[in-house]
This record gives sequence, C-alpha cells and structure tokens, in this order.
Amino acid sequence: MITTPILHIIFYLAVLFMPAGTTKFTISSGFESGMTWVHQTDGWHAATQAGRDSGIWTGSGLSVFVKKSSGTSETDMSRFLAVDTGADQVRQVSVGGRPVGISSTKSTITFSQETGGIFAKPVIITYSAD
Amino acid sequence: MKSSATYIPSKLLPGETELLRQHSFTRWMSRDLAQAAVDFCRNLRLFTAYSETSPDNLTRYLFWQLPQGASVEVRSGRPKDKFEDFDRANRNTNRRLLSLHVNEGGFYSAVWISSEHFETAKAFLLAHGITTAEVRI
Repeated sequence: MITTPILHIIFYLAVLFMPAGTTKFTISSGFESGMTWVHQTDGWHAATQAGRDSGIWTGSGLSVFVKKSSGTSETDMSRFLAVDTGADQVRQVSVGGRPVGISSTKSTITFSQETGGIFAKPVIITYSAD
Repeated sequence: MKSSATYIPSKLLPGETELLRQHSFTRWMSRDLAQAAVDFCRNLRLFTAYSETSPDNLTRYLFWQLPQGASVEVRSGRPKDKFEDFDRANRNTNRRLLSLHVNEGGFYSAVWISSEHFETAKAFLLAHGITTAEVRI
C-alpha cells in the first residue's frame, strides 16, 4: 500500500505557487495546521506549532528531500501529482487523480478538492517575507 | 545576419562522475511536468545547468544553485535556427553558452550563463561529468 505523503505534497505545491521573496510559510488551516517552513541557506527548516524540529526540506525537479538527524529521505512527487497547462496558460494541478482547486490572495493560497481528495478539507498556506 | 558558428555539444563523460550525474538528473518529464519542476526549483533558488530533450519530447534537467549575481537563460527542445537566434542574443548580453544537448531529431537544448560566472558553472558541470559546450566562430 502506498501512503500519500500529504505534507510533501503541500510543501511542493506551496513552493510551486510561492510569491517571490517569500522567506517563511505556514499551514494556517487544514492538515498539520501550524507547520512552518523558514528559509535558510541550506533549505527550508520545518517546525511544528509546538516547536518540534521537522527537518530541512529541499527539492529538485519532482522530488522532495527531507533531511533529519536519522538521514535524508526522497519522495518522488510524480507518483501523486499531475500538472496540465491549458492553452490559456492556466495551470491545472491534480493530486491522486482529482483536480485541485487553487485560489490565492496576496499572502495566502488555498488548496481544495472534492470529497475523497486529500484537500477535501481545504489547506490554507500563509506566506511571509522578512 | 546569420551566424556561421559551429557548435560542439556537451559530452557526458564515463567514469567515476557517472553515478553522481545519474543520481542528480531529474526524471524524464512531459512538457507540463517539466515546467512545474522548473518553477518549483526556481522558487528553491535552483536553476538549470544542463538539459536534454528526448525524441519523444520529454525533458530532463540537472539543477544547481546559481552563484550570487549570476544570470542564466535556458531553452529546451528548439530547432537549430531558433537556437542560433538565442545564442546571438545571449552573446550580445555577455552570456556564454554553457551547455548544449542536440537530440536525434536535431532539437537543441541549451543553457547560457553570465560570462563572469562561466568558470564556476564549468566546475559544477565537470564534477558531474559533463563538459561545457564549445562555440567555434
């Protein structure tokens, strides 16, 4: 059985749609609320709302890497994520075969899906810059 | 005026760098996925050092962290005449051709970098067993 790496998918999409100059982003609602990533020279340092270290997150291509004291893991997003760019240049993202609704403001982005999708309960990311 | 330059593509060297190179390449990706991957990496401050396009129009990349102040241009899967136009334009803005792949269908994938950062990029490519492209004018 393949477990869907929801946090990795959120990280990938949050970075993909990240506004220029972002140095910090937080899951402000939805899955793992309060998880925050802060940019440092060696990657994005993640921590839970309670302040627990959740590793250094980086990526390349379609992979997300998480470095912890126990070692580095790689997760291939191509197994979970599909992207289509229409003739109108609007990017449509699907996760688990279901389209993801994406809406944004200047400092937030919301991912949502129909019932059965991992974003059935919408996830809101809040971006900030120093 | 058309260029009369001869282009020597990058070579993938056999040997001890091969393992690192294979591990560092992205997977082969469709155009849509490749564009998402490039955008994702750009937001992580990673840029293309080398790219290849397959005859069935899939692309793979080698990404790296650009030196401070460097600028790059990346064009993948372009016909020769378009590539030559890009090369002229980049030379005019003081960028040098860093890497070049030409596939069996004659489509060019190229990366140009600001001249002052060429040697740093060259060292990165060589560490991955990839030679820089050569231009003979």
